[in-house]
Amino acid sequence: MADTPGGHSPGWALAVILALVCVVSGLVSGRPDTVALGAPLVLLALAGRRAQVRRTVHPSFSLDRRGQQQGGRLRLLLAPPGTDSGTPRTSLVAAVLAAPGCAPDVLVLREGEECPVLADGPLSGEVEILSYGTLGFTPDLTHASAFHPAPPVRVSILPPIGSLLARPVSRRLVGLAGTHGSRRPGEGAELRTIAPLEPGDQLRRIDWRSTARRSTDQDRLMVRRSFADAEASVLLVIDQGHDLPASTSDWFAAGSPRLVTGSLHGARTAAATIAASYLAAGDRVGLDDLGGTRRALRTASGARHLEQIRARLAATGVVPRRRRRRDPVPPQGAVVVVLSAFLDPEPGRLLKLWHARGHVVIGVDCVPVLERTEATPAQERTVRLTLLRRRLLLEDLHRDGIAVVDGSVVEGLLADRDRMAAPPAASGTTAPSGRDRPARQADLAVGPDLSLPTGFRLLARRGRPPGVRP
Amino acid sequence: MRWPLAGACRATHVGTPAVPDRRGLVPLWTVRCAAALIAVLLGALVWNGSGWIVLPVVVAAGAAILPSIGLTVLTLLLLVVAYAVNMPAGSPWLLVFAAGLHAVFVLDLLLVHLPLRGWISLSALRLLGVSFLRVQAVAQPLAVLALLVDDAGSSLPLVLVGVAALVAWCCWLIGRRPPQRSRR
Repeated sequence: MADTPGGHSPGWALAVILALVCVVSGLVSGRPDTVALGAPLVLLALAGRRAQVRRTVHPSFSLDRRGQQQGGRLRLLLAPPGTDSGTPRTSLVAAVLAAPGCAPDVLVLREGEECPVLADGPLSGEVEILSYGTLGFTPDLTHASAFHPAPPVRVSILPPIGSLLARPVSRRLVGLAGTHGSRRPGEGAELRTIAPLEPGDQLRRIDWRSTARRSTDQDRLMVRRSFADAEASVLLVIDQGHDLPASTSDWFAAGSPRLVTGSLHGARTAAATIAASYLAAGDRVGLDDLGGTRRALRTASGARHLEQIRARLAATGVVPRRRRRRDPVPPQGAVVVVLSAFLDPEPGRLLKLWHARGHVVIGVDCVPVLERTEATPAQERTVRLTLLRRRLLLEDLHRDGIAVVDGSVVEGLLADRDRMAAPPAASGTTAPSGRDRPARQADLAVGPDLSLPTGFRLLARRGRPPGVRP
Repeated sequence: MRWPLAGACRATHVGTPAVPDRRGLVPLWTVRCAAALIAVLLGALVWNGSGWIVLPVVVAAGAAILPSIGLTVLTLLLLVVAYAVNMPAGSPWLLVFAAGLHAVFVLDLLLVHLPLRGWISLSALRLLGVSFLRVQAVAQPLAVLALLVDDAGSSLPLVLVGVAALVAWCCWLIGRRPPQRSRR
């Protein structure tokens, strides 16, 4: 309904036609009142000849920094572009908004008017949350500009961090500084032995009490020798190949994309929590992805590195895997954590490979609490087969002694977990409340038994050498 | 086999629409109802006592809901033609009809551009209202003059006085300065 290149709009044409009808019928029938009926339309047609809607009416969205989150929704501000405040605002602007998976809505405002808008955002990750476009009219509606689509509003939400976890570490720790004890002699706080002074021993290591006790004739000096301190390295490997939604009917959803929380959110949250746990203790953490689409984030430590990891995690989306020339090589003595939905053999193959090379490997199953909402028998069979295949892959890893823990529930993020779960009233199911994975997946859909905190605690206890402090 | 499945009702789950978060907005369905109501009331006026009243009602409701310029044209033509045919000459309803026809024109033309659901701000409605009143400020005296001409018939002085008053009124409207905005 925009203006034609000649400057005439359908509204203006309609006013002219109706005015002509009124005038002609009034003149033919000799009735001045019928002619007067068309007076408003004649005036509109005359006014419409001169008026032109401004063709640069393009409001834009900006994120309102004052209150981003409101009840789990993002607050955006529909703001006009910067214009001269002295210019009178005499046009109308219609902003057509479309959230993912929703029919478009419209917001008609006076030109220059601001309006905050609440839109659903993802729990984590980088997605387009709102598509919009604008068109403008003159107040008498005889002229309208063409619809102007704007770039969609894209947000990036950093993954949340849950309660800190216990830290399983490798027996082959590297480095000469850190918070972990090692079995190597060196400069550390852990006492190894007390022995006579030898060439190369530092004088500050002399233990005068032991010397007085053991060297009765004062002919030799005793020194304290210690275990070296060491730091742990962790490599997080995230599987971007799949994002399995919690509701099984969404596995088959086609059409416009929707904001659905899936396994990738679980992977991001678990990875951020694991990274925060290790980095808080001064260890080094790196990040890689199974798809091999981006360069790996090298292992490093510090709070700034945690922010880098979270930003990289937020940018992860579903990317098809490409053939890699060679498998990723974790740093020596690193703990390798693979976060995946375990729908195909590739994560398991890499876990086995790194396990065979002597790394401590942990699989984190990120499939959320499933809500069985298949709509057809074919869909139900597909879901059962997928879960059966997953179960076989997980059992295979279990046979090889590789621990796989449940990463769908991260402690300290209960509200987040509740949002991921289905609304109980609608589906008739209840969200799990236990810390460990409950009997959430009937029959074939058996996942790991241990939750992320419990699994890491057990692995940390199991992997610790006797006599070495955690 | 479980069929139908317990959670199948959620298979049609859709996203959550974006909503404005401020006061001073009117849902668009209010404007649609107002447009349809005005058209139906005007139709009832001119199709008084006839079974054909159903036709403008349906067309007016369709024009308020569907984004079709054709239905808008049909609604307005049905009203204009029915007025010319059914209403007696010199009826005082002309003043109401002139305002109502203009209102239906404006509202239907606004709705033609817009999706079904939405909101319009009170500020935008005020702007539309001011524009409407500016046109009516000339259209209503013109309608009064038309009634006067119809009634007075051959009384030339009366007609000339009316025309002079209308011209003076229009000249004053055009010649007056717009109100100055305070610059702060």
